[in-house]
Amino acid sequence: MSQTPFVAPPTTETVYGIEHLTKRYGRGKAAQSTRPANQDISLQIVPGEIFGLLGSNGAGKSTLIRQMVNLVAPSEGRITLFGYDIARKPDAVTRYVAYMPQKPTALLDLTAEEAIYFTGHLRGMSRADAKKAAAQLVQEWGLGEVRNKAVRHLSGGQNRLVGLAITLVADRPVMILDEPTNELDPSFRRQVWDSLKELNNQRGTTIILVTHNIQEAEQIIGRVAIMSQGRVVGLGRVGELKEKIDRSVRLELFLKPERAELAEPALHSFENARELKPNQWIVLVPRDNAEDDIHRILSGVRLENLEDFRVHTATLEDVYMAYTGRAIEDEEGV
Amino acid sequence: MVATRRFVLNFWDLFVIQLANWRWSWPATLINGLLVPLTTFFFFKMITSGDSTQINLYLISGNIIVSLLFTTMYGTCARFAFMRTFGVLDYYATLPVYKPLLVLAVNCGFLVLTLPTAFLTLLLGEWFFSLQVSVNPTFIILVPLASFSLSAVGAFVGVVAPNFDTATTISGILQFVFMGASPVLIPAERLPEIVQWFSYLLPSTYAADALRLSLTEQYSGRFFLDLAFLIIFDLAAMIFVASKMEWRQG
Repeated sequence: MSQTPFVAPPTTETVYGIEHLTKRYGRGKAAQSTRPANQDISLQIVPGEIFGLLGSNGAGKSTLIRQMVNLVAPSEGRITLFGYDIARKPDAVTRYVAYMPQKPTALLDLTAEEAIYFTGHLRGMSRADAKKAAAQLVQEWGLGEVRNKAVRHLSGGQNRLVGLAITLVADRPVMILDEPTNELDPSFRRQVWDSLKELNNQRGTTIILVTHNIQEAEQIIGRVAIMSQGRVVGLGRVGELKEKIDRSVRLELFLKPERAELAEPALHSFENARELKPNQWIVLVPRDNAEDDIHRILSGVRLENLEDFRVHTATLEDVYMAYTGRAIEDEEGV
Repeated sequence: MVATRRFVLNFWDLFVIQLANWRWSWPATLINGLLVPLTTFFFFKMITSGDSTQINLYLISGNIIVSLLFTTMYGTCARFAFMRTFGVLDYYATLPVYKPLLVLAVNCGFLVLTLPTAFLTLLLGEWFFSLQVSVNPTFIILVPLASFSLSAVGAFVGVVAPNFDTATTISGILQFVFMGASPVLIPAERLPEIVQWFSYLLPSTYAADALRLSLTEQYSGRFFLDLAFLIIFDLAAMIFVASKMEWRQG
């Protein structure tokens, strides 16, 4: 991405300041009687960081980021962007933030290159720069062969790449990406993470990510907020959060489908055992006594009932599980 | 100066996006817009032998309005309802885009899309009824004004209706209300008195009347009143629609 930053933001200690944010959908009594989509959220995002928002379906992540780009008005609390209250100065968002929604629905009848060009031009790039940037992004993201095809006729993955290119065009100082790697194959997922990391390193772009792909995102995320039932239940650097649960070792067990019934009763008897997917279990074992505990668990489930097993230290996914009590689901957020 | 330039560039981009959106769908719009006028021409010619210049003139000018009802009014309604319901507005809301310019761009996009329909209706009407009408500068001004007045109504329904299906249903009903409750195809004096009074509220009344007077070059006070109504209605309606269109979910 060779374009120069388009709008330099004011120098502030925080990019986003979120104070006691609550959102209740509906009006009047209906709004009061339903569970808030998010509740009393306070956090700050500092310049140049890559911030991750983790949460399962219904955790309130999508509501939070829609509030951050001014698409949803908070019921209580306020959001500042580079010191500006975005409710009072909404153009701060349009000037400084590029937002990639989970399901892009605009510009579907335009070709990929046109969609990128128009977004760049609407963001204030000159016609020539926007054209150049669109051509460059099309090449970079492997969209050359479909550059003249309407976006609606592209595959899910190609559509995602167009959405990403649209977000990247015109170099906004802040990027908010909702599930940027959904529907992408592994090589493109790798390219997305590398590209975001490079953007962050070279241009100091502040990146806010919502993703279910936490194992991959862990490589680039600096700080993370873990959301559950509309609240932030964990917040800090990935390392810090890991340290808090690092007394655990993760034992991952893959059961033979035909023998799963024989192993599961034993697994249910361990307090920290959880089923991640059918026939895939994880047990968090205290580090101090790991050797004995692992032996005890493997004896209980019996090796002949297992297809495979792995032992490793805590990952971001374990942090998530420790805070929320469940595995992150690969579903659409709220 | 810089702000004006930004406005113009902003509008142009939004307008071209609308045109680009419809480059795949214009044949369907053309057919859709011509279907009712052609059917009406055919049946009226069968019934009335097409020998009354006055009636034929009503049919031609009225059917231009009908073609606009079936294309611009319905189209803008569906477009705005779609943009609201399916999150397209989110895209524009997160860009430095002026809301009124988006409304104007969508309306202008539909105007360009329906101009061929309006002119083809006129030409086919002339051919069907062997009638020579005057296509003059006022006609060229009136078609956009008429189109905007109807598309603004469609846009209003599109931005206030609770969902896409409701919006298109209301718009479908309004097409027939505008067609039947204003002197578009039927002379005003043949409408029931209460309907005549009601018709004064509908922009289609003024659009159809002005078109008729323009095609016969009768530039009376009534023509200028029609013109003034359409200009004021179009401006007010566009501003009203932009103010009602919510970027932000409350």
